[in-house]
Amino acid sequence: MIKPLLMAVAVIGLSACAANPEKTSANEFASNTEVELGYNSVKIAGSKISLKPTAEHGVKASNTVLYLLSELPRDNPQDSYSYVFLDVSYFQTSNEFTHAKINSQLIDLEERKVSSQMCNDNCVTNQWLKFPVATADIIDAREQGLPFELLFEGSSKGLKYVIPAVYIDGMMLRYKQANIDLNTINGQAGNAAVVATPVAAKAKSQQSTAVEMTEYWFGKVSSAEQESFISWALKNRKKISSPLKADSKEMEMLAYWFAEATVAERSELLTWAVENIN
Amino acid sequence: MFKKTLVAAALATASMGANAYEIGQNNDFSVEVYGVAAISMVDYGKLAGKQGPVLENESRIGFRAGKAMTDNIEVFMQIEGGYVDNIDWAHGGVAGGTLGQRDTFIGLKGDWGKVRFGRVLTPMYELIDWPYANPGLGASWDWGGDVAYYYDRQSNTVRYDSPSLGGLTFALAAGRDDDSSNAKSTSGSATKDSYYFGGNVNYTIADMVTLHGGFETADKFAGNDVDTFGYLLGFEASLPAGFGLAGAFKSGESKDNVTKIKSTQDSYSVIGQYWAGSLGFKLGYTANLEHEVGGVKVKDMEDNIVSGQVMYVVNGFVPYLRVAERDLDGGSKKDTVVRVGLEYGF
Repeated sequence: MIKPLLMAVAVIGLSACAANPEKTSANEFASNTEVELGYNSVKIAGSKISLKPTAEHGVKASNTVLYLLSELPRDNPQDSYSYVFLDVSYFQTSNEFTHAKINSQLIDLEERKVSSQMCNDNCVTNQWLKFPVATADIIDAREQGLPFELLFEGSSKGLKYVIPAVYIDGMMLRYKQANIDLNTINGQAGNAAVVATPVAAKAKSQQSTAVEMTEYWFGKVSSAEQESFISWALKNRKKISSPLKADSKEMEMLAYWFAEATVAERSELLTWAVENIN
Repeated sequence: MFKKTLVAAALATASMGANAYEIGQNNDFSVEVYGVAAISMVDYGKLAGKQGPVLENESRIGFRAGKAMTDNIEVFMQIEGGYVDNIDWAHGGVAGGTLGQRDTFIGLKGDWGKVRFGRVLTPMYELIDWPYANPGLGASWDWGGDVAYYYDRQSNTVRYDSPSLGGLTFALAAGRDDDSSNAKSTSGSATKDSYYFGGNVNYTIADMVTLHGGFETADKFAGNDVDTFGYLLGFEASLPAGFGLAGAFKSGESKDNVTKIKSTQDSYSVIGQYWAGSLGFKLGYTANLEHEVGGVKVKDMEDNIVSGQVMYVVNGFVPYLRVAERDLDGGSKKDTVVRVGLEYGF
């Protein structure tokens, strides 16, 4: 019996940006962490927090908002990379931030969109950035916090910040729970996560669980069942108006996950299914 | 017999339908609304023609959007409105918040820099405005001079901004003057033979000092039969313990092509600042020196302003209090201007 509650992707909405992260408990951060259970990974996004620099050299920040995003594989999650998403506003300078320094290592900043300048009484530059951090470094910072520094091209000093330990601790607490959920789900799905077929192993980032699971179960059914599924899915891509005639558990699972996908995902899945029919 | 091609064709139609349905929901041009909330109460003093304190609402909104065209070209755009102000409708006030009044452009950006087409600041004016006009020095330093030789924001401009090259950045711009006729200026027309060219260069040394230089030259400046040239040299120093110092000198000339008379004027601006955490103090002094017309100094037209400001940065908001002593037009316009305001960029 499929248990939709367990099978569904658990998503907890982001709370409003925490302006005083130091006064927020790890449990509060944990409850505000957004979680998405993937097929073989857990994606966790910490809530947005407003950070004050611990030191400023040659530049004055007016506003900094940050959150962490980690996609942790089931196996060896510490070997993965996480991302720091950062919106920073500062009184205008002739340079813009190009690097982040973490543990003495210089990392290129990636612009999520083109920076802007706005002048009123004061002129302010806005940058929307992200940069990768080894997940192991984040795990190590659970007790002390994660210091980093934003730097201009060619400069050695800039804006220093510390991602609070309590924030990272909250994310780790939430991850621990999510990992238990993931194991429970995969256990009830008939060892779905244990064996990866060539079809399911097709590497695609940012796929939803529904897409991954549909592709997985598609690889588990016979050729005749695949044809039957495609015919049914074509008619039911916008709205599931008739049940799929399923003689096997695998077909039941296939229909279930297809129904869980969005309309746009279903169209993509159909295209994919036609290309991958046995 | 299962017909792949038939299904594939059906799917193509299905996919197109799905995409069309989602236009507007999954808009990958990432349109966003932004703006500034800026309100202040100001008392200009007696001589400025305004009696008592008034509210100035300099809030505005704009739209930005962008999308990658290739791996190394991001197309971005911006449409920004002017200050909404407090329009005096009862006395036939004119709306000020029209979209496109402030920086409005389409641009391309890559690791080679960015280029913008449209209405943007000229490179030299960008330096004049920031950091050298704040706190409250603009009435002399920015728009108070007696010789006009630079634009601020021009509609017919192509501007290139370099990436940082080891602490060095530069910008170059070329453009046309707006038509001098107000009736035609909204159509984007430009005065015949009226062009300008300008640039700036900025270099940071040892994390401490940034040097700024800018220039701007124009033919048929502002639609008149005069040619202009001006330059600016300045610095910003980041000193220990939260102190900072900035200073600039600018000089410009305007040559009348009919009378052949040349006018010149020099100005300077000096600003000290101190930050104690989120609390900041600024003290600035600026002066327009006596200008010359045809090599003869014109008396009683020089200006100076001394201005102090206290401000506080809290969660993106910047509340401030400013007191400025204005001494304009050779002492004929002396006023104490007090402004208290709050602004926030969103």
